[in-house]
Amino acid sequence: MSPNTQEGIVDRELRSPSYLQNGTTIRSWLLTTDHKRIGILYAMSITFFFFLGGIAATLIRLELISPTGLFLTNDEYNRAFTLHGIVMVWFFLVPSIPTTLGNFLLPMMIGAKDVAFPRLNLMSWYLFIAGGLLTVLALIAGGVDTGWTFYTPFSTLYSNSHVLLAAMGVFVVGFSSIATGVNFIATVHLLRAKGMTWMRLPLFGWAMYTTSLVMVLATPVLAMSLLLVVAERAFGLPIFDPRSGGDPLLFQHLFWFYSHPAVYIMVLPAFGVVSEIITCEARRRIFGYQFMVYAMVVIAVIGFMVWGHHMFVSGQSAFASLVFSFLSFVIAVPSAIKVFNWTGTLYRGQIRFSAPMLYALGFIGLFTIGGLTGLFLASIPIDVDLTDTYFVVAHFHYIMVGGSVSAFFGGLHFWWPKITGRMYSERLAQFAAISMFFGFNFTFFPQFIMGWMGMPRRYHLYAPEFQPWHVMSSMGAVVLAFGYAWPVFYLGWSLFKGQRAPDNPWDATGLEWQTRSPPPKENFDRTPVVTDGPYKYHPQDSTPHEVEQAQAPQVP
Amino acid sequence: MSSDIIIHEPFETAARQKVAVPFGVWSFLATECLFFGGIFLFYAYARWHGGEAFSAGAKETDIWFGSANTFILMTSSLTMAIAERATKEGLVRLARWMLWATIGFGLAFLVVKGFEYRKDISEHLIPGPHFKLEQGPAAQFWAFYWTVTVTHAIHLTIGLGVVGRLLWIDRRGDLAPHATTAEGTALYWHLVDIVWVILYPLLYLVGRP
Amino acid sequence: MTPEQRRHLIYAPLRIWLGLCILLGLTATYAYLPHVPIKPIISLLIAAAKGALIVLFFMQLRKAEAIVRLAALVGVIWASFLFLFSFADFLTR
Repeated sequence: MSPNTQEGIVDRELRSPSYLQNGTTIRSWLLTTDHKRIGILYAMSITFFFFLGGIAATLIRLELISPTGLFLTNDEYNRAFTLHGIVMVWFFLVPSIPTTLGNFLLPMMIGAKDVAFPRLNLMSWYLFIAGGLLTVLALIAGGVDTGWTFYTPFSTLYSNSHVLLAAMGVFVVGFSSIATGVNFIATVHLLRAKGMTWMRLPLFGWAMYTTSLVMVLATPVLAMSLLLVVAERAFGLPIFDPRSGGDPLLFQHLFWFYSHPAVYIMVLPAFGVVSEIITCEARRRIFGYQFMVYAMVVIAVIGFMVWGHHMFVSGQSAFASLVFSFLSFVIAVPSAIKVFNWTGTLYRGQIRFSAPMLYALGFIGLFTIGGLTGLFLASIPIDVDLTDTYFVVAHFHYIMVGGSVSAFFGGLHFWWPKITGRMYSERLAQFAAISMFFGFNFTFFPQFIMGWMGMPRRYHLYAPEFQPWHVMSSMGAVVLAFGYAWPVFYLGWSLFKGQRAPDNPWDATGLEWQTRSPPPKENFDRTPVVTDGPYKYHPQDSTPHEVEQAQAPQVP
Repeated sequence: MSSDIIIHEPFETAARQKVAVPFGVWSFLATECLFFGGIFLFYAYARWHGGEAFSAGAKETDIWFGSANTFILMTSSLTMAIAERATKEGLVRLARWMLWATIGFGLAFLVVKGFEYRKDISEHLIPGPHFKLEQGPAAQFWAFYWTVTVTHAIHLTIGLGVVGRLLWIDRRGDLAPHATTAEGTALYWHLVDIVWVILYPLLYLVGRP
Repeated sequence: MTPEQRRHLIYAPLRIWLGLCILLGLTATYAYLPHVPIKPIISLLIAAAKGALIVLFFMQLRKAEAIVRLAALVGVIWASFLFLFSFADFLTR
């Protein structure tokens, strides 16, 4: 990509202030329609929820050290893992990359001044906060004990906890997702800079586009299933109640029609982030750009047709299980294409093991393990054995935490200089990335083993033979918690004391790097014009290695 | 013909901006399609599974209220369509009158719905301990009836709000440059109408003699 | 108002509205006719026809840009996934 910024250097004195200096009052932040500031608002909010969910995880891991439980009652334990699930899924993982990095970077990557509907963008943040407040209120009122899945008839007829408040919280935050999705889709369709054709779009842009597609088409069904739960629970209307001929599986169908694609809402953005980091840090064009794009589109579409693999033991028909199982295998193909292509990108590259790259490489490994164990669970005979065991818990944590959260941290580091205008300490960041990788495996690999041995999920009292694995897992969680908390300190330090960042510290090709750090409110001093595809790290037909050799002084 | 649209911040050209609003609103309507799709799936399941007993519940709805409301809402769609076209043509006076008519029909719908609810309640058609019919598929029909009509009424009320907003823009005196806003509003209003058009046979025509 | 505007603004929508009213009368009458077949299907087909009139003419999808049509279509297609796969379960239990 070569935006024509060469025409003339804008005089330093005449330049407009950066987006951070453009109004410094609280009011200028709370009423902003600047996509970059809204990204920052979101980042602060999801950080809060990440630590809230993290506290619940800490309670769970502490409790599980002893087979007889340490300090929680059955009821408190149920509430702890429900809180962990609800907060982490809807208030951290789903919004994490799209609303922070996506909001900040998507318009810049396509050469636009803002998203298509800036006021809608701000509204989505307020909806997020409103939904978050309702959920926090449910927590303060005493919590919820249904698990994050709100399964009926327990949630509607029997649970004595604050299901309504939590369901309303999730309902509201769903509309914040929809607003973001609609906004991003319109942005990518309508605001690409001159010359930015679809096949020149950076993969992060494609990731945001496909993610938004899933958000817009899946979230409303979640909203309706929660509305039906509210109708049955609050007003006694017989909807899923089997005594009136209702079918609890209908709820599961509706719920998983959203919640399985939601996994792709969490992981597609990670694909985008990792593609950007790996190309830059390996100084390599992406291997098979078009297939990377098609893979994401196929995942976004087929992702809607596999939800029944969550219901193999629920009493769904054998035929439906067969279809869902088959399609779940099918969707592994584009995921595998992506993993192979990232690996292919590394081949003959000049790899810098910087902190973002360590996170990205960690992502590939953890995502591969998560994906392959997903194939175990997609095959019905194995799933029947492993349903509701720790094997499932480990599997989805490998995808959602090992995968998405690694990518989120990688992206956060990669674009930190652009967002804040400051550099962070490379050494400390590498240390954080490595401790996160080890802490994660230490925490969750034992869960595969004990799940395979038969340890059921959602129990806090268990047979003593599982204790070594649980203790190992809890100790790993300490390292993992350090890996998550540590960046708060050095990134916080960098905010105030860090070295000023140059415009393009990593020597990357994306449009977002061709403007100032931090960018001005309008993103670009000059509207960019795109003349080439992304990731032009070396000439089309030679590797950077060959280029270097050609330029090296000839030794006789 | 007034084509002097105000160009907002992220857009460079009026042409792009003109597409943005219908495209954004239609994307949102796709969302609505899946939102109501969820509750229609409940209906389809209950009707397929409940059979005759489900239709027996449907016999208790009042076709007069339902048909009157269908007519009212279709007419409101007509006035909304005229209002939107008039705004585009810069015929502000006509647009204003038609927007008021739309609000009037919308309110009329809610009033009729209110009378219908009163009748339903007096006949004990709310599933629960005093339910007129047997618990079972008939109760499921009425669970659907209450959930979907209330959801629809909430949509309609939001619709009244956005149409009211157009009138407020008109009070400020710049309705004509807000033709795309009018277009978005009209799209939403028509969707609320379509949902009702589909609900009409599902609620009122099932199990007629 | 020019005659051309009158045609475009008043008469065209009025014709669609008239069509909607006729369809409403038709569907209500058909529901009450004794001994006629496939009542549910007819009533749903008429509802779909009314919906199509509103979408194509009132909402002007007929004249809309390709991407707008695409957005409109996608909602229906995805809702069909929901029905298709859920009933793949219900019908084969």
